[in-house]
Amino acid sequence: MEIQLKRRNNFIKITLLLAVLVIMAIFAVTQGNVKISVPDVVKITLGLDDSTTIKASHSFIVMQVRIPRILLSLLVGGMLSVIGTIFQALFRNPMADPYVMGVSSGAAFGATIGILFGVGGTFLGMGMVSMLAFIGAMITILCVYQLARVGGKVSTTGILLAGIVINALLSAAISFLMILFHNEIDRIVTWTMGSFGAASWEQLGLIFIPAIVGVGYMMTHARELNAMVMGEDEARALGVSVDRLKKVLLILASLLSAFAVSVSGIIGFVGLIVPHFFRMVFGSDHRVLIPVSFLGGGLFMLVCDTLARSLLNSMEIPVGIITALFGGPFFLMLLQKHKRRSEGI
Amino acid sequence: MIKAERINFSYGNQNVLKQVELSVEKGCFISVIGPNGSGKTTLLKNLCRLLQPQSGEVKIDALSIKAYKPKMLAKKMAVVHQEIQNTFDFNIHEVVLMGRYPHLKALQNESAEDLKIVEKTMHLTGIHHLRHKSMSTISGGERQRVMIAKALTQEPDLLLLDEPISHLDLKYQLEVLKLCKSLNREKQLTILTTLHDINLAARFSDVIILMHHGEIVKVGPPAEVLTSELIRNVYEVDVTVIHEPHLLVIPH
Repeated sequence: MEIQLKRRNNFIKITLLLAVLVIMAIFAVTQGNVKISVPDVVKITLGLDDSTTIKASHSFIVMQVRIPRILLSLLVGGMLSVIGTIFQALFRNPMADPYVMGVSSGAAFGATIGILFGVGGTFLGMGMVSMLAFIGAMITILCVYQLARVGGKVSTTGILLAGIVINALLSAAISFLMILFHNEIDRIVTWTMGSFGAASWEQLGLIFIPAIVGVGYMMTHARELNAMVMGEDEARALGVSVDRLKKVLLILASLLSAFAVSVSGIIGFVGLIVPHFFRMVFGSDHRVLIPVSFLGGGLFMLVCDTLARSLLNSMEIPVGIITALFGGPFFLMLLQKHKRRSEGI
Repeated sequence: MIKAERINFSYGNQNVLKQVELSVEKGCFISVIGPNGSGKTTLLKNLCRLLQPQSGEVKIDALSIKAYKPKMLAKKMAVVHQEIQNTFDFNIHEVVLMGRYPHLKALQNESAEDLKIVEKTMHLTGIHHLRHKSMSTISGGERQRVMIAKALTQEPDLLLLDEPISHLDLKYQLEVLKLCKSLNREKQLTILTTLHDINLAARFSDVIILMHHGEIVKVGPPAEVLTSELIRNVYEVDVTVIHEPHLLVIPH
């Protein structure tokens, strides 16, 4: 049967993707200012290191710096891509990204306040700047959601518009603060371009459960999302509880993006482009699209972050710059190829 | 099969449906006609619970439509809407397969039986050869048949269609209506459709419902509803109605 064949093909592709991801992750551990060989990395991670052959500093770099950072970039990349997939489906809008509900500007505003007032200390293992970013994002989500609510229903156009307006408003506020306190401009700007520089096991622990539970939940609603793409009325006619689904997924997805932003700053492009990339490769069926976006988004982010920390010796490049600078041309190339193929040239 | 009991519906303070009464028998082919803004589409949306009447009640098999769970309702009736969205491309097989949704539990994969039903409806609607194509590469008439195939895959007793032929050329208009008619005759599928073309409505329907300003003006077999006086009153157009060889309405 054709469908069995298709399922098996998809299974093979997903397995391949997973294999590439593991290989890339191991390779990424060896990269950086200090190069560490693959056998050493394997020994360290398996706990077989003895201080005679492997330097203590290497073991520290691998276990406390690189591995948490790599896992965090995989998780954040995967989350952002799945969130983008969900928003694009819910809004039936190819321009939707994880930040449609104002998460990016809300988080940036929170972080700006944190940076300007020099709030220090940690809360639940999160730096105060991250914490304020998370709070800022949550408040914005609630505002956008309330603004877009008419009666018991949320209008998707309403969300898009309210999101744009709130984004503009908060961006203006941030710019104003930056002009007032221009000494801190660097730190604010760097934060808004994203980085995994502060990655730690605590951060990973903080977002791991929300990410896995959230993405898992979204995957169980893949079929409903397929129906939603055809239009809300279509989905209703098929027996999907559209209003409930919309509410739950909107809130869950923005909550996840707030988590992502609070550990890594605003990393653009990934959540917008990765879903489109995999739609071209695997088609629009969300039962396949969600898992491959998760794996593929993670892989993409891992590659970008590895470049971000190893391209320049003197400094680290904010990862948001890499995602767009390298991902952009690659995506445009694919788009051209896809266009030609669908036009039969 | 489906009944509307004195339903009133308004958008804001504009009454779109006024005391609409209607009863559809099983196995009937019914067309709803009327000028633009007469409330045809609103009636249809009330019948499938996309809109809820401010007063009155819609009943399906003697049970209030409000009592149906979403999936239960989707097994009773399928709806083909006027416009379909195609933001992200699905292939035809994937679209038709969506019709099995109401029959499946969460996370349940389609069984061989489900796939067989999909195959069957694709053959029935003449789109089987297109199954690997994507929605954006097929013609309007083919797309409409895909949507009908998806609706049939729900295995409903009742099929509602909202202006299923308004964007199609004459050939596809006939093709889609003929398909509906054969489903109606051979599968005893009850069909209720809104239509703009009076002559096509006359040719294919058992019963025509004529609407005007949110009210049902007349219900009956085509020959009783399509008279020159009624059409003049409702459409404000003078027509000649001839009955041989078919019923035909010719505007002056």
